[in-house]
Amino acid sequence: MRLSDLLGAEVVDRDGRSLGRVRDVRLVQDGPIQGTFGAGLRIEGLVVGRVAVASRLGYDREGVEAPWLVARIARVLSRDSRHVPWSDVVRVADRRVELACRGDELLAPTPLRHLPGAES
Amino acid sequence: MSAPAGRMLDAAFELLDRQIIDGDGNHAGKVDDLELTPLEDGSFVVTAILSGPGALGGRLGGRLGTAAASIFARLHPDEDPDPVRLSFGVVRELGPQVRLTTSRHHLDVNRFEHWVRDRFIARIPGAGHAPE
Repeated sequence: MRLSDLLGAEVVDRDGRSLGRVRDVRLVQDGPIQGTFGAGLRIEGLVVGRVAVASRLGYDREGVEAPWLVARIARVLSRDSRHVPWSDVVRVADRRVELACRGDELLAPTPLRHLPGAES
Repeated sequence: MSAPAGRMLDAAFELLDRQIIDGDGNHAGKVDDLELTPLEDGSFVVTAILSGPGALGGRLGGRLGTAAASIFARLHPDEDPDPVRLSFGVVRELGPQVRLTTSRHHLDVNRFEHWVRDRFIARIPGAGHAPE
């Protein structure tokens, strides 16, 4: 599988309701060792939503200060985004991701701590 | 240094389209896609970075993507070429750029540039004197 097989795929819950599309794939660095990189990146879950631009702006990050108007717009745009734990994914096929749970059981994605490069 | 284990990142936001820098500090393409390999327990791990027109074509989709993929396929000696694949084991650091431990000369990253150089640039009179 490739990342592009997931990104943009339609996400459907247990009852066949659409939750939008896969906007991002959250990775956690606790997989099997990958050479010099160390622990590999494992899929932790999916960020799903109806609005494409919301998570790409980066204003949903913790510790990022946005002008209040931008922050408010970003919040409105991302209000329907949900985090799907990978364990709830039943099937990925033909640009469609099927879940074992219901859409209203899912929570909003937790903001990740920092922007890339901010730590160095 | 690579980051501590257990950190989280969003693949499209923090990895895709990042510039790849090889072990000598030279540009070695961009992250166009990631290869995900299933483990026995149903989880998936990122095992490679896919780069170049062969990977980007599939991501773009539509007419442009098909054109990019077919040009790449035509330039490649193999019948059904895979995109340029960089094992995640040669990644040293993820940040604003993706840094590798290996030199790009050991990686098959500049196939298109080499093809253009051999087919077109080399035929221009005086091209043989061009510095590398």
